[in-house]
Amino acid sequence: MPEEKPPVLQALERFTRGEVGPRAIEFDADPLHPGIRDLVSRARDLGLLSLQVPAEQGGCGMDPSGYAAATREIARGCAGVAALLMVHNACTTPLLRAEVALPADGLLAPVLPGPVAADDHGVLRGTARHVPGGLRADAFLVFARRPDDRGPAGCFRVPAGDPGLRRRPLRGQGGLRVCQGAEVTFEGVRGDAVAREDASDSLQETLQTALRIGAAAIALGIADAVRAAAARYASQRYQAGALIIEHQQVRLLLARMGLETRAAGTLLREACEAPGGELPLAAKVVASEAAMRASTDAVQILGGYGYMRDYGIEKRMRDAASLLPWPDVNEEAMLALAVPPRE
Amino acid sequence: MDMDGRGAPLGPRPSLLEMFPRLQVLEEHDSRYVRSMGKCLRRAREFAERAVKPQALDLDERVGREPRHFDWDLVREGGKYGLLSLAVPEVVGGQGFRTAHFSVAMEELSAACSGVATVFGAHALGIGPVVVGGNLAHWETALREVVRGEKRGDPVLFSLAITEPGAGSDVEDPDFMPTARIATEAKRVGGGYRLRGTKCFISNGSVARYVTIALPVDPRRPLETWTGFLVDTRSPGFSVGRVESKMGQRACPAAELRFDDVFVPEENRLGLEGDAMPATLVILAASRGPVGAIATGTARGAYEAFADYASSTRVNGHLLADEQRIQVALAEMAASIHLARQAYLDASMVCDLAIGRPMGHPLMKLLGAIPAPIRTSRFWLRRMSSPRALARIRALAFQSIAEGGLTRMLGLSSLAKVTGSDAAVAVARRALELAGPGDSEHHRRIEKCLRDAKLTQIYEGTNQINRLMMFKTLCRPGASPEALWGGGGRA
Repeated sequence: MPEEKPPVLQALERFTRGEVGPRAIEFDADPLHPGIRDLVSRARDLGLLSLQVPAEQGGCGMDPSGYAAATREIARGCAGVAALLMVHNACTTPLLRAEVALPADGLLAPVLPGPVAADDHGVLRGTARHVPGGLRADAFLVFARRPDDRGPAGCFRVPAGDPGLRRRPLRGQGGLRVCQGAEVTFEGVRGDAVAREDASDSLQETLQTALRIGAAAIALGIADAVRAAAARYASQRYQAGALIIEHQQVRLLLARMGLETRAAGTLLREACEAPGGELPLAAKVVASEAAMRASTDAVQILGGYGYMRDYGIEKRMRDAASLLPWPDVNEEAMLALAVPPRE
Repeated sequence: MDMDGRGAPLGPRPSLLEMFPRLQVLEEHDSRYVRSMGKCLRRAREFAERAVKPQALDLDERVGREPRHFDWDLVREGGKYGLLSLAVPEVVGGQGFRTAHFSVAMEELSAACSGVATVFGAHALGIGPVVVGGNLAHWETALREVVRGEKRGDPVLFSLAITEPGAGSDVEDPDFMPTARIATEAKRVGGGYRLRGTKCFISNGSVARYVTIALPVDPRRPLETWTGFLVDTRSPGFSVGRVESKMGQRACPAAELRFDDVFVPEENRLGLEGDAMPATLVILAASRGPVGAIATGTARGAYEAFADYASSTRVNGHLLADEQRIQVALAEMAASIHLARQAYLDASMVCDLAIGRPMGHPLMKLLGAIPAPIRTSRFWLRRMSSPRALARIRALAFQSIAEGGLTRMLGLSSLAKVTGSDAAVAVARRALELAGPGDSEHHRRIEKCLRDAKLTQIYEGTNQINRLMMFKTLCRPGASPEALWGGGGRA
């Protein structure tokens, strides 16, 4: 018997179909569109900014599987919107783990270890070149190193409005455009410590796992959407005397989309059940490759229509392409996955 | 990651003979052909490096915001390098219809911006039916206008309109034509035809002075009555509908063209009634090679941007290009670009062999020797466009092209198109992944190349229809051109 969807997922489906999907093309064309702010407010009202926050703290109380399912659903409407919310939700996981009070509202964006250093007083300096969702973030979760490069300095929360913080929108972001990235410079900003030194390592892992699961879920949402659109189009369009879905070439493309999406979905489910190991990374690689192939083929099936902005399919391909190098470059991830883990 | 600005690690661009090793052999036999190809390459390269590459990203961004923006200055500038008259026959002042030369130029332009390349490519494609249609009167008028416009800095652009809202790849293939959902019609009226219907996604459609178009005189018998026309876009009843916002190749507009009872005089019919499918096949055979070249150039654009990035970017204390996996990726990209390049040159040279015959026919040479005042006189032009003259020229051209191996031409050009476009998407996709997130100029070029590359798998017949064409022409024994064009032509 099919399980009944939890109410929050039902609300999510209505949100995706009614509010996200119909505006995806418009928002993609203009990442500064004021409507995006309103959409984020709506998402907050629906609890989509606190997916993994326990119910007793007023959140949705989802486990990683629920978070993945919700993210995938939103991505069916627009992967950019899904990414903006996903990045924020991923940032809440280390805060929850550290048992630090969550910000009352507003979007979070992560600054991963490397570019930013923090001194003993928690004063941050450095420039992060690529902060996903950095343009709209209300606060940053910064993983900083020590100025002498000897290990982590800690994890800090910094409000985006701090006068010592500057951000510049990244140019030419191809996909996930609603989740507009930014270059963020910290010039002596005092951060609010979430964890100090080595204690931040496990928080960083928590964050990265959430980002990977989230990215995989977005990829699958893209694959779901393009497959549905391609199958629909193929069942209406005639070419060479037959509906194009009757052409074997097209059927094979559609079948591969389905198979790969399903296989990646299974891997993601496994990853959600065992988020501690390497599976989230593996799921992200497999899902993003599947989404890239599926969306490229979907554009192909729609032909000229697929290539034009107004039909919404080329956007899916750009979105999928943005997931190939983010949050991990797939090939670099493969290097990390080369050796089987010890049992 | 840091750029250490080591200068250009790519070194000088490859020479013609480095790009096509087999041309060394050819040079022994026909050094003029190779030399003129080299000249063409250098000119295109200079235009690409000087005028196109520096503004390719900005132009892409601008048209992304304003789909109706078209950079006439760039077209004018390209004209200075002779890029508008490449496909115009020499007898009317052009540079001859040499496909290989044209392809080489297309690769160079595409390595800088394939949208700009497609402006020139679609223009040549539009000229194609006028060259193949064989009405010398049009050569003396419309094609000469192209040459004059180029010299004057007042470009005259052409465009070819085949695709319709309900029919695309299938109207480019005689086997599929009878069942295609065609919704256009050329109705015979006194002194000519009235054209009605809509064509869509037409490259250069909104900026062309002349549109060459194919449509049926009798919609119930599309293949038998598929007929080409030369339409002056200043004719009453012609209008441009929507101009699409494209994923890539934005420098070149794709427009909807509406024909609302556009009157076309009989003399502007290209070839005979029912002629357009064989003519279309010849055009496609000649144009899919250059599309392979556009794709190859796009792949090269992504490759060069990534190679440059990898050779100048430090990651954890070493250059990205010092990593084995990056070296292997670059090697594989270079290999697929090289193979795609050889494929388009084969297709293009086979084309030149076939089409070069009627072009080099003694009658054609004779024509060039006739003094211009006579050649452009009303009397002469009328004679040259009389039904008898047309039929004679047409028979001559098609027989010659058929003997030259239209079947092989079609097969190799589809092969070049499919190989090149698949390589372009794969190379750009891989470069985009391996460069990682970022917004450097390299990143932005690679991102643009992926968007640009995708179109090459779609236009000039989807890769799906081209693979079927490859089967029919290369894998099925005994394929003949007559079988290919389904007996549509009446000669």
